[in-house]
Amino acid sequence: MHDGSGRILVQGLHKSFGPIEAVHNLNFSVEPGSVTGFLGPNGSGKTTTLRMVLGLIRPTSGAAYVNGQPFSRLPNPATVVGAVLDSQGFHSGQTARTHLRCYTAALNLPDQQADRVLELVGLSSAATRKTGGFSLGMRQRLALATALLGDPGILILDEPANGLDPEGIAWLRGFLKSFASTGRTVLVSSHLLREMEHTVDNVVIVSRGRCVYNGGLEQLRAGQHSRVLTRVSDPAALVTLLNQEGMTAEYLPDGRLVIPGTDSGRVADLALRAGVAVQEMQDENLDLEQIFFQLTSGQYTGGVPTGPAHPPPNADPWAPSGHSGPGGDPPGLGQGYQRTSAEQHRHGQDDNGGHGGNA
Amino acid sequence: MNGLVKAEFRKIFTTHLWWALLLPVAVLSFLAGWGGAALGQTDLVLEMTRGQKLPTGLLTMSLSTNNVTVFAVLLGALAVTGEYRQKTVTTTFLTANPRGAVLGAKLIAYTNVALLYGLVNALCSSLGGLVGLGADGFGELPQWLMVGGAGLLSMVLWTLVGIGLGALVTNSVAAVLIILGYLLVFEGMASSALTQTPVSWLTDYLPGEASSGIVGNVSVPMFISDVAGAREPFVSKTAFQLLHSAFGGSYGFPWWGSLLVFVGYAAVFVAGGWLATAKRDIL
Ligand SMILES: Nc1ncnc2c1ncn2[C@@H]1O[C@H](COP(=O)(O)OP(=O)(O)O)[C@@H](O)[C@H]1O
Ligand SMILES: [Mg+2]
Repeated sequence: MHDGSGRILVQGLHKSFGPIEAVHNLNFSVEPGSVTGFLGPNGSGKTTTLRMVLGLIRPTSGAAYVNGQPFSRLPNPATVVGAVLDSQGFHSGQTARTHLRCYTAALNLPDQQADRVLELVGLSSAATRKTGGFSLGMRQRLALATALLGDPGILILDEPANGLDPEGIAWLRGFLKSFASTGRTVLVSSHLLREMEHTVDNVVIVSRGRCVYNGGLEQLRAGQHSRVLTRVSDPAALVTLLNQEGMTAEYLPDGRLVIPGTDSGRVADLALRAGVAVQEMQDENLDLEQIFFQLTSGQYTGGVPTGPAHPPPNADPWAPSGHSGPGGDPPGLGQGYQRTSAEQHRHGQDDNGGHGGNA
Repeated sequence: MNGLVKAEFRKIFTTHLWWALLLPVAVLSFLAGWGGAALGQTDLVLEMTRGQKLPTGLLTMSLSTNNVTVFAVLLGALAVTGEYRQKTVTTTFLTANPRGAVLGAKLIAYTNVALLYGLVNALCSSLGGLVGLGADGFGELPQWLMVGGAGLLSMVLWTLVGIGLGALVTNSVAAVLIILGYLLVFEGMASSALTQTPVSWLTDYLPGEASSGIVGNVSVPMFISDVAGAREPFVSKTAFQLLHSAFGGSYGFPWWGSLLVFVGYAAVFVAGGWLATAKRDIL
């Protein structure tokens, strides 16, 4: 029997498909009463993880729990957790209603429940139409209706915004928020933070199958993700000292240095110690999109030469440093900043050239 | 469990597979009954049997059953692979625990559909017989019921084999190719390769042979005993073998022996499908 807590717990989850490690040592929990975003670029292991939570994929190691139980031990699981995984699971010859009534039967629910969920997702008028003629948006709604059949306390959605028009996305956001506001749990994945920014309260960010951030969205947005742009008289000397202090820096094309994960006060101190003159100094806060990109980039950019002034002392900026709770410092930040934007990729490699022209 | 079985029935009767495969069963059964009956009415046969009325209907029902069971195994296999192809299997497994319960529900629901198939086969082949032969070509009612009942068993077991196979391979095209390739090509080749060897008895234990023996080993001895009456002990083995080769079964092999062998196959396929289903990643 489950504990009714509405909590999803993922512990040490691993999944390999042959040589491909899709999910690597994931740990996170999702609490009721809020919308949790599960974010990461394509191929970062979101779908694999969600399917493991739902008992559809067997983990290579580790475990996932829903209401304190592995999915496979939930009696009548659809009354505990509903899932929208893809918008494909319909027999094209069935109508929306006959599709749903297969599952009301399986769940021992009254057949009116089928019409109730159709109304909930705004598909009542299409109840007697064959699903084969449904648009992608209608399929997403029908998939959501199917997930809601058992009136579950937990809702898991994998990229539900795909195929929805802006109006549909707005509607979905409102729906998820009101669902969570009744004390229920929502875990929703997306490869676009922007898409979820106004919907989610907490985020779990994955990159290449590893957790790179787990906590509140506000904490993620908060100040510790600033970087400093500075122009100094002897950048090389400052960089040497920064490296000694375990920090990294990168040259911008105009000769300025970018120092991630710190603030101007600290850099000014270090400049003084290095004996260089500060000509210009500026704190910069990243917007969420940049933070997200920075946290998750590198997945597909391994082959692009990037040019930190010196190799960062912590060679693997993507190593899992565990996960931090809300308010904690997101692991991985403050390292490997050279990947912040595509533009910097392009210019990062001619570091000394840029420097020479401006010093 | 009741709910899951009900769900399976709804899946069956809100989609077209069940009647798309039942249609050829009806047509082929009727044609087998009709054609077989007409064969029994030819001058040659009538002369040989000195005008005696023959219960040919028993044989043709056997023939028809062994020809249409292929649709039962296709039905069972496509019932499972269809869920993978349409990706409804995800929702199906999200609404039932453990996965084996879904397979169990399918076995129950499709057993019922297979009985319907068996019934349609018995009725249509008899109807064909009536058209070609008249009412007295079927032997006594208990005889008709026995051959018909053996046909139902065969039909149900083939459906279960299909469900197990479908759960093992999950791919519709692969399942159809395996079924047709085996039944139409491979088993025939295997049997003829075995006939000249010391282990020729093995052919009785091949799936197709075993299943046709369920009906053929009822109908052929019944037919011969009807025709030969008191002379039955003197009927040559060759006569038996001739009829068996056309209508299924083999000389001296009991029908329940065939049944046991084929139940074994059904059990193996269902168990294999069960295990594979429990372990599989649903992607
Ligand atoms: N069935 C599979 N076989 C092999 N590799 C797979 C399979 N499914 C996913 N992968 C790989 O696992 C990684 C994670 O995939 P996925 O979970 O689908 O990511 P996401 O949903 O975040 O886009 C990818 O590298 C993908 O190629
Ligand atoms: Mg995905």
